Formats: sequence, C-alpha cells, structure tokens
Amino acid sequence: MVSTTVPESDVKLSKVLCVDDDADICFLTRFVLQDVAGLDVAIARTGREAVEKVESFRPDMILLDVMMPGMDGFSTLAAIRRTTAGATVPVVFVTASAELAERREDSDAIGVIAKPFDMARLPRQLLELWRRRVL
Amino acid sequence: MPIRLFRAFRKSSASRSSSGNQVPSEVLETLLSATAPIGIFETDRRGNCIFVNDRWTQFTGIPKSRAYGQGWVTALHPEDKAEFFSSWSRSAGTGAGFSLEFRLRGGDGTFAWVRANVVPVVSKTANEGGFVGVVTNISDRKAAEQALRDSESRLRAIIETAVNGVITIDQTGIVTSFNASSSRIFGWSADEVVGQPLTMLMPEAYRTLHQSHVENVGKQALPRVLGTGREIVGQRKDGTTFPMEVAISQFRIGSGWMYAGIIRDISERKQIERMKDEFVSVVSHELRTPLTSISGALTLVHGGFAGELPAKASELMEIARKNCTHLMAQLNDILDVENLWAGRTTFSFEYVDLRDLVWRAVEMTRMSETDARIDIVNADAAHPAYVKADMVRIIQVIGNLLANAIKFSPMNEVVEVRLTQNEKWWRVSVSDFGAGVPRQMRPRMFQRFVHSDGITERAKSGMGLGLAIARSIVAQHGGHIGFDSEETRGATFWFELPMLFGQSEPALGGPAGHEMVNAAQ
Repeated sequence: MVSTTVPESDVKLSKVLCVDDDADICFLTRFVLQDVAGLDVAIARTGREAVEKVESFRPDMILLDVMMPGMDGFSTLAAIRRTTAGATVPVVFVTASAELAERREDSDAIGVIAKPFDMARLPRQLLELWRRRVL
Repeated sequence: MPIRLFRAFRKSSASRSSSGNQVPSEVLETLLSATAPIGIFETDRRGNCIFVNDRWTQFTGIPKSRAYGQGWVTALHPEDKAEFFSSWSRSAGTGAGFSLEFRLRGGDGTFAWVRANVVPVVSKTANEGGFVGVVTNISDRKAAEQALRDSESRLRAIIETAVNGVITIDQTGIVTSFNASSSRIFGWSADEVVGQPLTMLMPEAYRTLHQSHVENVGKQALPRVLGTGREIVGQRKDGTTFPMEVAISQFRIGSGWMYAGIIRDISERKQIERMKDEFVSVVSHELRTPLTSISGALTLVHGGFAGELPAKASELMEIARKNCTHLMAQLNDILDVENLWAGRTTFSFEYVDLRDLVWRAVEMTRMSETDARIDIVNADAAHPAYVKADMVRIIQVIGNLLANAIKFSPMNEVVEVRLTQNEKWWRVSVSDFGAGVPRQMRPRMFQRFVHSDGITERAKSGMGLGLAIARSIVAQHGGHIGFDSEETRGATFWFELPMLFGQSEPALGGPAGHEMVNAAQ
C-alpha cells in the first residue's frame, strides 16, 4: 500500500464531509472551507445521507453534528465505521452540548468543536486537528 | 413541750448504746428546736399541733403560739390540703408513715415546695398517740425540675413543628423518636416506627450497609457530627423511594450513644434541578446553533470574504458583529457556569509561568476593549512565577477581572495589574480607580447573577457571572480569590495560586529544571 510509505504529516487534507441538519451551518461551513480555505466540501443533512456520502465522496475528514433528529452523531459515527470507506476516517464532533462532548471519550472522534464556534477560525482548527490526528 | 418526741429519741439512742451515756434532753431540745436546718413538728393524734421548731416558725412566719392547735394548717397551700389530709388519715388508719410534697406558705406570703416525712407515734394509751414530721424545703429542686420540663417541652414543640424530619435512634439502630415531619415525609406514624429498626425507612439494598455502619460508629469515643448534607435514599411506607439530605449527630445518653438525624426530602429540589439542567441544555442548544450561523456569516462578511461592502453597510455590519460577539460571550458564560457548577468542566493542568498568562490576558483584553488603559505594574518581574494551571482558564479569570475593572473605571482612568508574591502564593491583582464596591454588595460579590447597579453607563451590561466563574476556576486550582475595596476609592480584585517553587531556587524536574537542561543542550 502506498499510504504506509508516506509520512502522515505529508498527507494533505483536501476533502471534508460536513454533516449537520441545519442548512445554514452547512452553507457557512462549505463557504468557509471551500470558498475561503480551498478545500473540497460535501454536505450531508442526515446520518443516513452521511453514510452514503462517505462511500461516494471518500472524505479525508468528517465534521459531524451530534444532535440530529433521527440518527444522532454517535449512531452515525458507528454506521460510518461499519463501511469500508469510513472505517478509519478522522471524525470531529460539532456540538452545543457539553454533556454530549463528554461522551466523545466513548468514541474514536479526534476532537470536539463547540457551538457556537468562530467560523473564521474553522479552517485553522480543522488543519490543527488534522495534523494531530492519530489514525 | 414535745415530750413524746424526746422520749422517742431517747428510746432509740438508748437501744443503740447500752452504755447509759445518754444525751441530756435539754441539749437535744436545743438542737432540734433552734439549730435544725429543717422544720420539725409534732401533733396529737387528731392533728392538733403541739410542737413546731424555730426553723418552722422562721419559715412560715407563724409564731408558735398561733401554730399550735389548728393554726399551722393555714400555712398549707389550699390546693394541697385535700391530699395532705387524706394521706394523713390513711396513715392514721394503717399506722404507716407517709411522705408528701406540697406547698407551704412562707413568711413573705409566697409558697415554697417542701417535702414532709410524717410518722405516726404509737403509744399504749390512745390519748398519747400522734404524729411527728420533718419538713424540708425542696423549692430549688422543684424549680430545677420545672425548668427541665419547660425546656424539654419547648424542645419537643420545636422538634414537632420543625419542617425537617427529626429522628433519633439508639446505638443498636432502634428508633427512639420520630417527629411529625418525619411522619409526613415517610408516611409512617410515630407509633409505627418508634421501637423499630431504622432500616425500615430505607430501601432493602441499603439496610445491611447501614446496620454495619451504626455498629462501627458506635465504637468510637467522641460525640461528633457524622455528616451534614449527605444525600441518601429513603423509603416511604408505600414502598416508594426518594432522595433525602441527612445531617447526623451523635451524643451520649447515660451509658450509651444516641444518634439524631435531621432529614429533608429533596425529591422536589432534585426534580427542579433536573428541569433546570434540561432547560439550560435545550435553550443553549437552541440559541447556539443559530448564533453560530449569525456570527459565522457576520465574521465572514467582516473578513471581506464576500467582497467589499459600501462604507455605510460595513459600519452597520460592524455593529451587528460586535453585538453578536458580545451575545456569544454571554451565552458562553452561562454555559461555563452551568458546566463548572455541575462539575462537567475538565481542566488540563500544566506548568506555566503566570507572567505569560497575565501578559496574554492583558493583550486579549486590549484587543476587545480598545479604549481601555491597562498598565502592567510589575508582572515583568525578573523571576518566572510558576504555577500548575489550566492556561485557558486562568487567562479567562484574569480577563474577567480586567473586564470588571474596566467596566467600573471612569473614562480614561487606568487599570493596574500586578503580579506579586504572598508567602507561598503567587497573587495577581487588578486595581481600578472607580467608585469601589458598595458596602451592601460585598458579601455577595462572587455569587452568580450579582450586579452592582448605577456605577457607570458601561456597568449595566453583563449578567454578573464573571466573578462567579472566576471563583469557581480559582477554587479548582486550589487557590483563593478576594477583593479589597474602600468605598469611593476603587477596588482591587485578586486571586492567588499556590507557588510551585521558591522564587530564587528552581527545583529540579519541574519546568524550571527543564529550562536548565535545555540551556545545557
């Protein structure tokens, strides 16, 4: 496999999947990550859609809202992990709830971004998490 | 002359000593009559008084001449006469003595409690029979008993009407008292519980544990409060369980231990707490999500990512952005407080130089409060001020103190920041030259949602959470926080963190030691 010969830090972050039921958050996230930071962004508005997009879009990283109607962030993450494409993709939770943020410990998410977050800082935050990720 | 009385005395002393070495009757008479500390009287068998001693006349104020015959009866309390005479006639019938407590009028007209021991004097001739009695003043004892009864009934009344349940148990765990509130809380009446093991008031699962606890505690020597504000689970008569708060104290009664428990049913409070937590969590989520979008959009527009705006639009945008940032900070404060109080905040402690944190907090404050004047008075001291701290949180504390000081400063007045050493502590203090802390505000300064009103125009903003958050964070660091203020002469708010190393002697292995190693490399 090619990836084993390439040092982790040299793998560039280019494709991000944003999963959030809030359309405005999705729009802004795409705006800041794609139009401003130059990343390739796909949007999923439900957990089910997220699982599909993981397979079709093959993201390098997933921004996952925790509180969503239907499949919440935790079950979405579990479903993603069951796919071949999503088995090891780094996931960052986005949540407004500190209680849910605590539950991150039980999952393999690499970080939590608390709402409300500073949109302008989002690209840098993601890049930092990307650099520190453990696969 | 109490002839028979002396005869009785002589007879008894004669029977004890056959030496014939008898006490002369005059001496005895003097002793009994004049110096005895108790009243002595003698009557014939019909109850006519034939002798009273000096003590008796002194006490009652009735001269002997009037006491003799039926005169002495006037000294008896009217309410006690009936019982006195019925005991008297019973004694006459059975020939046994009697002892009675009753009230006797003193010379000053007030009644005192006395005890009389009366014995019939038996004589061969019916005419010579009669009674001899001694009277002891027991009013002190009676008063003490009454005081004890009063205080006991007062205490009982207080306990009975107490809002909280009060239960006492003995050292084997058997309930000895159960007040009205306990009945209300548990649904059992006092009759059903007193005499039963306390464990009947707890769920099955806790019973064994409790019993062994009682037995262990009983072995300890000193009375003490075993716990205040402990939260445990109780069980009502109908089998339902509920959370309760209990304070238990232990005290000695006679040769054994007793325990008193004060109990408060806190199910309602718990429910309200849960509702509040849910409310805060829902509200915060509902507010945070749209706020993220609003602030995100504004920030991006402000950053020029959506192209140039006309000057007027840009100005309006800036107002929106500034207030949005403010709103977000407020919301974060509420969530901070909720999380700190619920113990959900996690701290990541590391070795840091407090000078850096002061500097960074000041820089951050200067950025948002562009017209504020902040002077770092001596935080650029030559020696590092190492503490073990969560950097972000301590910067937040300093920032809160700075924001407060700026809020309460008159325009163009400086705010001073100091970093000083106070024995084993590093102290960061922030001083303003505003109006000072009003006296009535002082005890509440670090509580949540506390406002000081009418200081400056700027002071009106804010929810009064900054200091409460600061105190909670400092407490998590094992430090303390406080303020010094004289009304109208400004205020100095400070906090202290434990010093890691002596100022001039960095210890090896710590961050100061690290520096030395690094320098050697």
